[in-house]
Amino acid sequence: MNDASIRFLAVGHAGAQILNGLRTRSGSALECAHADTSPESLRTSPIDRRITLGLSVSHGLGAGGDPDIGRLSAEADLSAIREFTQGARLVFVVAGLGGGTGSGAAPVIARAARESGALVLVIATTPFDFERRRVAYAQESLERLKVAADAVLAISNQRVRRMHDDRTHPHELYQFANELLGQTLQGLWRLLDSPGLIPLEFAHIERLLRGRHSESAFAAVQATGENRAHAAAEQLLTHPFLDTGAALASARQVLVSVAGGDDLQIGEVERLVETLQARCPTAEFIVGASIDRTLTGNLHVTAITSRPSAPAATAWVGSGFARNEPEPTPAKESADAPPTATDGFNGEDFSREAEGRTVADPRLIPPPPELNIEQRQRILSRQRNKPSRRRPDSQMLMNFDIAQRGRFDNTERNRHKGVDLDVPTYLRLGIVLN
Amino acid sequence: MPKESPILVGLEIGTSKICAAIGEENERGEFTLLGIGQAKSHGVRKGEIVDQAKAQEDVRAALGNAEEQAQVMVRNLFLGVTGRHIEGFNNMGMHPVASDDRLVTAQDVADAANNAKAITLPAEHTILHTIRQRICLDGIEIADNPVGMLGRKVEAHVHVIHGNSLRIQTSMRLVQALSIEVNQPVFNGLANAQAVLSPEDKENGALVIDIGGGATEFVFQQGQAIRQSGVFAIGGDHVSNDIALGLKINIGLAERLKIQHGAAVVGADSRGRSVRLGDDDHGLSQREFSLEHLHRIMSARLQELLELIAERCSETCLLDEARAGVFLSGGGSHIPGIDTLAQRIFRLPVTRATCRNITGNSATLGHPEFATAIGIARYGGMRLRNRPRPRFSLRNVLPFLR
Repeated sequence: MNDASIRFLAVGHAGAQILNGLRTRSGSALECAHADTSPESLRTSPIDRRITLGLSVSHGLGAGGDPDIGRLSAEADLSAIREFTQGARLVFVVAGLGGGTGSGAAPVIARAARESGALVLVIATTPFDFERRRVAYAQESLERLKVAADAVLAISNQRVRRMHDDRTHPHELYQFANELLGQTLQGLWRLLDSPGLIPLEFAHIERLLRGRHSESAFAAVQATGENRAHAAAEQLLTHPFLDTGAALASARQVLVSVAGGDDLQIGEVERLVETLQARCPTAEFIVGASIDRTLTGNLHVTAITSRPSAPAATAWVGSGFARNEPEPTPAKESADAPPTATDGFNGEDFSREAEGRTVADPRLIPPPPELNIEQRQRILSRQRNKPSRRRPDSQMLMNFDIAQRGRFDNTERNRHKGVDLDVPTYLRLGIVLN
Repeated sequence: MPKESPILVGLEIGTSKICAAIGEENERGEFTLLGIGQAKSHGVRKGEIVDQAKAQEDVRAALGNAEEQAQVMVRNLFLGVTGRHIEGFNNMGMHPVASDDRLVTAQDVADAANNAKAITLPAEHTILHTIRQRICLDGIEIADNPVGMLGRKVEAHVHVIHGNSLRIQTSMRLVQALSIEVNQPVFNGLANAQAVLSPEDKENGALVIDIGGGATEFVFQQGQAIRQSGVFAIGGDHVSNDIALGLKINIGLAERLKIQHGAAVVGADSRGRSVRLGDDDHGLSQREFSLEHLHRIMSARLQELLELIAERCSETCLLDEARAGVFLSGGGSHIPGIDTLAQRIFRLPVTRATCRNITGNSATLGHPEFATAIGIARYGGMRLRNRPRPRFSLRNVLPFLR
């Protein structure tokens, strides 16, 4: 796959920052563009190709945190977007959700890109929990993105926050989050782009991500030294983005991509995959391995897991996630058929020092058990009756039974159709003795 | 002692008393009671052993009494079991007649009966008894034995009595610890019916209710078949406990009040009356109790118990088929007015049970309290009589009476 068929489109200020992180890391000339409503942001943008959105809508003032303006702006300048995505096979839309431009424009742009025939992956950050308003915007935007794009990888700043202590500088946090997303992007891109010992094709990824109604979790780790295969596996199995390994255990499919330098041994790959397989015996494994001379001495492992998804309404709540929307996308089906062009060994000169692709799974929701209608209704009705968790517990009922069983206090309850027969009958029947 | 008449021992580990009956049976199946021993029970609640050591001591005493009276040494016995874990239910097993000529063989019948036993029991439950109710050949009920008839499919309707194997094992281990072998555990209710029902009663159909100290067993027998059986862990203890809680007295006084002044129905004559009863043991002054309250408490409990039984029996809608009526047995049958109460609930003739078809100490035979222990011994006799003959497995599951 040549670079021209993969394009990166940053939406909004945050998107540009993330994309820039990736660009500097990869060191190669990526096909990038920065679309924004704010001329100010575009002026200082590190990305050369700039697309101004909605000059006619906001008159150069930006979206001002209003997703509606972001959306209208994107719709006004859709032709510029189409021009950029034309002919692409894979488009990464990178955005920070919660603001006006990111939340509003990203879904429109993703749809436009998809309409031009590309597989669209959205990489997004969602705000901290304390940013109430922005969280709501982000959530709404995510729902739209899920419909518009083929896959959405979202990483919650809140989850990143949890990985840091209270004294961390906010800037550091943002940088870390951007870094993680950059790694993810790079990892995915490398997976597609880089030739392998055991090549992984575009079709593999697409199969994993598209049209399966599934949830995915991503993690990338890096290990060095003697026992690096083992260390990498350990890291993956305890990785917070894989819910400390739970995502692996429940996975239906696992894609593992191993990248190393000239010293990469097939035995290492084998050991690593075996360790992971032991954790998820039922999953289907897709394994890829690639060589990058700059990685000599290092081992980079990327794991993508996918499993049947839980209901969408709850799925996004935790943090990053990827979810395929169910609608088939016939436009691109033709594109994934040809395998990657390059084959065999190829020492690419990209300095991909970190292949961390890290988009976390949300709270892991196990696949729902098979239920018949009756059981389902029973469970639903039970849940409906359940008081809200936020409400404080109601006052406990005093247990009168204890005093009423007399000499049978310490014996097994004499239950018959929900009644304890050891309790005197006259009490149960309410006979008044007076 | 003739060879044909082995010593039969039945042991009932009850909630209020432990009772051992020793008897022998002649070749005509007539049962003679040789001795009976009893001891007050301390380690049993609601029909189940809660204190192994105390129960073992009481069993030893009861068996000792019986041995002394009968002048025999007990080596093995049949053990009665009860408790709320024991349940009875009806099941049907089917077997297609395999042979070309459609001639029903004994094996076909045995297979049908075995299929009826293939049921899903609760975890750790084991089958105590499987009793044949009737055999149908192609849907038509066969009077006696279908072997030799022609048909396509044999259906065996059986009544299965099962219980928690661990709890049954507990009481068996208790006896085995006394170096006495347990031939077989026997459901108390089933044994009781064998002691109190005459062959005519069985033929007419009878419901036997044994109201014990901690548990009440009921068995509906019709002919050789058991139609329904079960246990409710409610007994005289519950009545006393209700009285103790209701009148705010200790359980010992409640017990005395129940025995001296109790009644199962609230009669017009008890209205406004009161009785005086003191706690003699502690020298406390006498107290006055309302007779009406006492009777009301007892009546509520006993009525509920009998209604539970009636409800369970009518699940298979057969109460009217008990033409011989209801037989009340156990200590609870002594409560004044219980027959009136039972009559009101079951709408059937009610009889206070006595032991039938037994010779021996007639003073003992009049007491329905011993019916269970005697019944267990009798049941053992039937089993032993049938044992030398069985040629196919059906013998193990079918006749417990002949």
